Amino acid sequence: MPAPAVARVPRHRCAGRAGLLFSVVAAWIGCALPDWEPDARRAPAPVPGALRVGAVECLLCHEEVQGHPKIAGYHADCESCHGPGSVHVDVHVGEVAGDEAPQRPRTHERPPLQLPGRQPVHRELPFDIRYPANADCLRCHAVGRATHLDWGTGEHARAGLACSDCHNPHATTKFHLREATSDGLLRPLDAASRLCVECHEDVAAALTYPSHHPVGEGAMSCLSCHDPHEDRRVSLGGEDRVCATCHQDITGPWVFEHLAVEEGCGSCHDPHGALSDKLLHTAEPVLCLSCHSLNDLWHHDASGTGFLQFFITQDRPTDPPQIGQEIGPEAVTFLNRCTDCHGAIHGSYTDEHLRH
Amino acid sequence: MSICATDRAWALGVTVSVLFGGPAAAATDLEPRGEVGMEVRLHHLLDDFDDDQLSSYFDQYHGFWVKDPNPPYFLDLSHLDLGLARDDDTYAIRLERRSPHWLNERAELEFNRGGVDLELDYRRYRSDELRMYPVGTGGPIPTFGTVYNPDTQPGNPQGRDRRLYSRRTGVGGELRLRSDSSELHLHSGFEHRRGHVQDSFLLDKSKEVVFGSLETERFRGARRELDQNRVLVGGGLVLTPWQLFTTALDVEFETFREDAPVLLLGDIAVSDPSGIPVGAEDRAFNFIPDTRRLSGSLRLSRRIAGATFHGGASATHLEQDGHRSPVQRTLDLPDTEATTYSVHGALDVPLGRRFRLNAFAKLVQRHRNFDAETFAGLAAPEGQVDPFLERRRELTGGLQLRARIARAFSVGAGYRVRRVDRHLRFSDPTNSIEPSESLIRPASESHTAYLQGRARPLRRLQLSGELGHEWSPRVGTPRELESALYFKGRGTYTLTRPFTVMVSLFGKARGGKNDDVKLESALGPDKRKDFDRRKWSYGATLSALPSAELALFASFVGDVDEQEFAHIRSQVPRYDTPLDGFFLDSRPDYETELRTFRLGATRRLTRALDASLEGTCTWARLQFPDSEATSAVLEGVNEVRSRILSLEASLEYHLDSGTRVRVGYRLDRFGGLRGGSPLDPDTTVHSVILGLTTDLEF
Repeated sequence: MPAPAVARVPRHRCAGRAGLLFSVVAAWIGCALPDWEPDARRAPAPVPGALRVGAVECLLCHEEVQGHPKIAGYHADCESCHGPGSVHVDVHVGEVAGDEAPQRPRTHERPPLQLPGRQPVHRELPFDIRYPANADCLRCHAVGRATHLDWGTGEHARAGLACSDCHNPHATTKFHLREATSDGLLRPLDAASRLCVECHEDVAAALTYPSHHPVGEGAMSCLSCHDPHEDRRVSLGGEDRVCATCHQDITGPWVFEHLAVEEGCGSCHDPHGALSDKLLHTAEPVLCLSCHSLNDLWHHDASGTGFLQFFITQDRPTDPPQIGQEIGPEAVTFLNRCTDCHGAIHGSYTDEHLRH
Repeated sequence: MSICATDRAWALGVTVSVLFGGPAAAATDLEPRGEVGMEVRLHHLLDDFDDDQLSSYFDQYHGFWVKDPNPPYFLDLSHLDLGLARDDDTYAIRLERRSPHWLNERAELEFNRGGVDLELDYRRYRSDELRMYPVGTGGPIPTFGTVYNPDTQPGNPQGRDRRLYSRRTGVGGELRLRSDSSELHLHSGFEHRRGHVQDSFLLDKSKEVVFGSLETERFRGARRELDQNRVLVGGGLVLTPWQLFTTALDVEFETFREDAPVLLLGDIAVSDPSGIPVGAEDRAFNFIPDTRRLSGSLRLSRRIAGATFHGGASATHLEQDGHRSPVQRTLDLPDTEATTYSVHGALDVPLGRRFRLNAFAKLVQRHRNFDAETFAGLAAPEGQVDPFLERRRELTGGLQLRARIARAFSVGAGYRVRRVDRHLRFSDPTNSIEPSESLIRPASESHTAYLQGRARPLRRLQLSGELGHEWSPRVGTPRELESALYFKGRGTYTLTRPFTVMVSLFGKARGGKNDDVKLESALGPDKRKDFDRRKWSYGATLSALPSAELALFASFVGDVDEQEFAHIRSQVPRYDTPLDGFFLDSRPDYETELRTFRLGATRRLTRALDASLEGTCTWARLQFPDSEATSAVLEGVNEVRSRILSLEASLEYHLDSGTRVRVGYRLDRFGGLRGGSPLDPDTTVHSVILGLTTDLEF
């Protein structure tokens, strides 16, 4: 029954192969390039007079924090971030020595349980060693990188978050993310999303609502839509740019466009989760009726009587009141979902009423 | 039956990994590391869920392909993390893959050498919705259900695999070349979406004579195939010219193709809902345009002594490309196009030791380059329904001053403005709605003033909050709020003795009204589309570490939305006719409430054995609480009371260094009521989980 409209060459296959070829070639070019050593940006001393002792000295006691730096020559040098450590060594020398020095925990020597969820904000910090502040991290990460350009004005920065609230430079995880300990069946979440829901409890709840984006199922991540370093108020392009990266088939551009779409996807949808199908923040038909004025002429049943006879009329004396009338099949049909008929609700090429 | 998540694309990913891993492994001093987790899930399905025609919330996201009498099971590598590490613990190559459910899979391959990062990303998942459509056939009693309308498969009306799905398979890659102050990155991606959906419904008069006159029997769903492809290529350059500012220039090109056959209206139905024959061959059914998009952006950023300045501009051009609708071909109409521009700037500046100033401004404009006269000519014969929005320009801006009054106490005050200008085009007066009857108005303008505070009165107590007032001199749509108040706050307290307990509370609320959208009527008084909305959410989280062997977690979140609106209807369409008239039908109330409770507990039973319990329960309620007849009708059809419960208990035994076995039981229970629908979501799924995880220390 369905007839193909136009016979076309499947160009996507060529493009897909080209993309894969590009990736392979790029990887091999990467293999051939020489190693690169960055300039070190040293952190100042926490205590006047402290001198550098070198990472080898630090690792005599702190072997467990040797991490996963992208640029080994910088992050692996403890004093780049923590400052010269001679005073720290002088204070703590003799506390542990020789065989008593802590070793990196093996898997069978399981680490102690941690407090689930968000971690306490207060910490006992030694006075003789620096703990890097945001500015210390940004000294490197905001220069020559496109990822932290607007960190200083963004929501997380204004809320006082520290880089270390989400990142642990010693961790071997991707992006050096701190390991989240959130619980409650959210394990399929990726590491970044688990961190997000530690603070955004309402979003964690929304991910369990009857209709939700499949973040809890591991199909996507909070990072698929959000850049935590970004100032969302001034993100590039329109509000729906993010939605359009996955939902091109409803982006148009249409000949006949639902004007609510122009106002933003948020006009009708709650992206994290909703009670109503299709992530609608308000269920049909309320969402539609709160804007649109139905007319009796078009929304009639086969007998010609308006389905709206099932409504009581307050100020239209020509219609008799219908209080208590049993709900008929027409009401079930029409009053449940407007999009059953107006299926091309985002836009259409052929129908101004957005039916198809 | 076997359900195993392996396909050619995944095999391709492994091949690519070997290709990259080969030269990396040949390098010196690389140590293999990683973790492999394998999981088997045996599901026992109760109630109606094992019917192949039905779906539930569980199926919606876990996605069983075929449900036959044998218990379906899922066997896969639930988690895989493999890599080759250097002496300093950095990875030269790393592959991470997760596959928590049958239809979900995501794999990421990282390659790093000498300042070059390469990332490949492969993902596969099904996107779908709980299927609740009118059956449309099979008897005089109208029913809602999950049975796929068999009309579109006349040759196999009872066959399997008629359920709806969209499956996405994608692969992407990124190459990043970095120096100390610059970066070049290239990325590309490809995604294929395949499946079928039941799109919209038509009222087909031809069916009426068969079953009678019931409206629901004239519904006909149409199966629409999906065969979509998206190709993305982009790149960017980050420079720091003369160490003045960081500059990021990005360019991206995307093509989108829908290769599925185009359905024509004449193939599906004889008439449209208004009884007009649809026989015209140039009317396609839910035509999806092929498009290409070209985007470019420039961003600048500079940090000076604790201050941040940044700004940028972007342009995106989206146009129809190649695949044209039948009506476009027949009438030789131009392709559709839209162009979006944006310009922004923001700063955050310290003013002395105690104050900070934050400001931002953004202008975004979308322009549809489609001929408005063509639009008017295509309007429905009964007249124009909505105006043509040719250009939309939105300006947002704000200013915020924060003051640090004491070491642990800061306050702030701010102001935001949003202004939208819409250039609306109305067709000629004989075929147009009046501007006063349009649901969208030329301008929106809103202002917000707010106060916020952040305090740490005790060492372990942290409080923050914001209170604001929004007012809108001009509203552009019926659901914009003319005036509103909002509040959001959060508090966290940590107790360390006798053991560590952290309590966190949050709440936010927003309420307002709009009675500024007025529909002017030629007959009788004008009608206002009054709209009130109150929305609030609240929650509490408790986590505790009573001992070194026990960790507890509990969280509760409630969310309430109350709306009241004037339901205006008209005797005739809102066209410029002498019989024009609006009527206030009723003022229905709408109310939803969602409550979610999550818990988790881990108990270390012995040196090698852990027990854990995790659960989530969500209660959802939708109702029309007032006593008006309209509300009663809506309630009868749309009332929702549902409960989604998932509970998982497991024991995990650590066999030796890095190897652990997990045995678990999971209960998924979905119950409740959906008004007007015979769909019974009472579904129970029992699952047994067997897992083996090995931490590979080669």
